[in-house]
Amino acid sequence: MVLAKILSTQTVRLDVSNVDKWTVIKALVDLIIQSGKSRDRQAILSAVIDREKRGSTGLEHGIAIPHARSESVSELVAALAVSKSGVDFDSADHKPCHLVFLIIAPPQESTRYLKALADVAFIGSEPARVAALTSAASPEEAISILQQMGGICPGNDAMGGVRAVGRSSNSR
Amino acid sequence: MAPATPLERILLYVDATEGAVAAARYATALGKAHGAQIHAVYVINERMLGELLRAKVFVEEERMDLERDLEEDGKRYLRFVERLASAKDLVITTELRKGVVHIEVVNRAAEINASLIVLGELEEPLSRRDCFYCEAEMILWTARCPVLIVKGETIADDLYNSI
Repeated sequence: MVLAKILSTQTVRLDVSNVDKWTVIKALVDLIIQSGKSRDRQAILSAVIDREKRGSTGLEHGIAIPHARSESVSELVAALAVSKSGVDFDSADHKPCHLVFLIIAPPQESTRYLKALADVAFIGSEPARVAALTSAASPEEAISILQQMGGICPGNDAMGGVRAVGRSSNSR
Repeated sequence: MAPATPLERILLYVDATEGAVAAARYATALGKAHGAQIHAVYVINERMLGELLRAKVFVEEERMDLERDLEEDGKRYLRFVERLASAKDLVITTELRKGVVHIEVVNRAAEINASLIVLGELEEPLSRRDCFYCEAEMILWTARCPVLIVKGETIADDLYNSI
């Protein structure tokens, strides 16, 4: 599961409540910035908001997946907000979202970007998975739950080796 | 008279997994050792794109942009394996395809009459029910020729560096 490899305890925030979707999105972008994965908050925020305005990324079963591609990140990054009370994300099923995954990818990581989005869709396809993550008591536990969903042993190398293909290539 | 090598044409499946690079090195070493032709294929997963569009993760314009960038991704991975082979004085024939991944790979293997398909190490499937997440495993089940799964980056590196 690509998603479990790109999230970290620095980019997971629990107990999100009493806020609107735009506040959550901004908070998630701030987590990306604070983790050192990017310095250009405005560029990422603009890309995500632009995408969100074209159509809500709130899916069914309590999950939302704001996302964008941006040259302001050099690698695939993600952040997660967990809300037990739920956030109104203008979702497809008109229900509040309990898990909001922000995913940002540079243009050269399109394949892994697709897989990360598919990972979120996979989580959202089963209410029990959404419930399990929503009940996480700490960012560490949330990461561990995701790793178990993906069959990953905690502590394995988190970064995909094929990222080096794009970076070391002379073709760009 | 020396027996004909059973490995005349190897098809290497290239994707964006950690095992793909090791598989490429191993396939290159195998091809060099057996005098086999090496073909590489990268498949844009149109089924996954379509599923995410239907799930409303994407809007149509976004899907088209991503497909274009996936094509660039695929070309970049294929150029990488070409360079790996070229460094050992081998030529790899590469092809970029779109569609259902395992179907395209198996079809390509049939088109070239592949003696062997080489895959990188399989990732743990997220769910046995959700097979569009385990395309590499589907290749294993549906291939009509032998399939080799390369495990162990170090072994592949050592073999590649020894040729």
